[in-house]
Amino acid sequence: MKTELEKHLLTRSYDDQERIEELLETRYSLTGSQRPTLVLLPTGHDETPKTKSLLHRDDTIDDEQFNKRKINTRLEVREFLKSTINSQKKVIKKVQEHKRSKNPGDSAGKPFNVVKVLNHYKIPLFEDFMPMRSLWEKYAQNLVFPDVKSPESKIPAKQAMLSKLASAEYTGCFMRVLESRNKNFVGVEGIVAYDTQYSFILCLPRDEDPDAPPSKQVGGLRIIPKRYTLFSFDIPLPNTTESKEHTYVSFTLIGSRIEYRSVDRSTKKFKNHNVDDIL
Amino acid sequence: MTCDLNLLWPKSNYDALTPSEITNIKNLIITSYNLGYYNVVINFEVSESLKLPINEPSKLNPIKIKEIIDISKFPDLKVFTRLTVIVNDSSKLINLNKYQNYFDLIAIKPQTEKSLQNSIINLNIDLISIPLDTKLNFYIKHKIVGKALEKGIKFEICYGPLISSTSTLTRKLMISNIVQLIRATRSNGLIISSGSKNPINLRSFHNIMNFFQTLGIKLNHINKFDDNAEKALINGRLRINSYKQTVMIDDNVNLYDNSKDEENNVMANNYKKRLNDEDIGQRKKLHS
Repeated sequence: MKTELEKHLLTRSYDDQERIEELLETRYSLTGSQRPTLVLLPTGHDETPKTKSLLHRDDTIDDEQFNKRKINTRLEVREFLKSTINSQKKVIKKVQEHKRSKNPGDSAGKPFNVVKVLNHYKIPLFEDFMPMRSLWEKYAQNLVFPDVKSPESKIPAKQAMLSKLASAEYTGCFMRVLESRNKNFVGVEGIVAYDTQYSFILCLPRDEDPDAPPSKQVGGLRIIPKRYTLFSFDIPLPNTTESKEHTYVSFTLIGSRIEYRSVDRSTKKFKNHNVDDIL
Repeated sequence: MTCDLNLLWPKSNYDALTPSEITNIKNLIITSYNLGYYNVVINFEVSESLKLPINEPSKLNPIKIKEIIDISKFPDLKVFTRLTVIVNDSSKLINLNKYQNYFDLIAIKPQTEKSLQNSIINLNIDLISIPLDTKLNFYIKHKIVGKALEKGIKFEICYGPLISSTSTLTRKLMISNIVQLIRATRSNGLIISSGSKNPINLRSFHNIMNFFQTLGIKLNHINKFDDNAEKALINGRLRINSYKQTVMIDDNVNLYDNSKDEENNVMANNYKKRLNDEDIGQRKKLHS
């Protein structure tokens, strides 16, 4: 008797009782001419385009290319770093799992092949940067010790060496974090893969020892902020003589004072400031 | 690690010291070392009219630490040198930048308000030592002092005259001046140093702190005095050892270490390091 109300309403328009019954039956069935659903169809829209401002200029092909390229390089580097660091975390987890699955005291278990996994995730290896490091060492020797032939000879005056290093390029340099406000970074060492405005991106070496902490076994990229951090590095003295002595001079970069891109740093005039923010 | 930034050099010109004066300065260093001051600074105080031998750089610094004391006998002891110029008219001080490399610290002692103001703006200095034991003929303004603190220049209070002076007037002046300085600096950027020529006038750090607590400085500001002294030393040493505080020579966490210095602070041959076998092994591992 659900349709009692509808029946009464329909009697206003229809005299025939059978016709009313039929209409109500089709109304509440899925087949038939009347449907209980409403189908929405797209309506036509306004085709006239908006009026453009007087200063508007359509992008030429060159513009499009340029914008595309600019966005792509920047985004790609960021994406690459993000994905690499994420996948590094995954590898670290895998190493941890492997460690946990091994019985304690049972050292004979199969060691975890880190390099294979790193290659699978396309994480840059420390060895990949070795050629860059030897290139940087040659560059630094030419820059800082232009006239030094053997480890015994005198090296140039302090300020002469330091002023050259202040505007030098550091990609490829083997650095270690000497001191930092963030104590987690102290002692980290690796080759500079990229020198951004506020950070150095280092590529860390792997520790082959299976008992080392998982993060050290994996190595890979690490972003170290420059602020409140001291970075130190060594430059070996050029040795043209036969003697196999290794002599070097070490330097320290004060991170808070070199917060510039390397391009800007090469022409920058530096100034002394309050030393409160060095460490 | 406490620092005493002011042990007075007996002469205020370039005359050679007599043997008794040398023993006196040696005693001064050893006494302060025994009182717990491991970083001591010998202060060469000159008036602005004294002509400094700019043409002979090796003679610019009369303080030859190696001739006075053998540092290796005292573990952790570091002796630095400091130049203090008494300034009346700061326009005469244009040459100050030339001998910056020969002293670890550069300080000024302003006699007038104008010289204080000018030297804060124009000169590259680490310390300001206001003559607190005399009647100051100007009022120390917070605005000027604040500018100095912003640049990292510290203010020095010498407790020497408080102990050594025989007249009550000096002590009275001293205390009122110290209170003035504390007011102007708002207890920030202050350094306490001895400033005495006689070992008997040296006091330990806590002894002096006790006195300053009675003057109304809060304890947490007093604890900063030592940090400030260290910062002044870092500031001074970085001027010699770094290029505009960007790159520094040597990899020592102790930024004001001076154990590898040479005669005139310019050459760097002592900074050469020879790798030992262990290091070479480690390096080869990283190279392979």
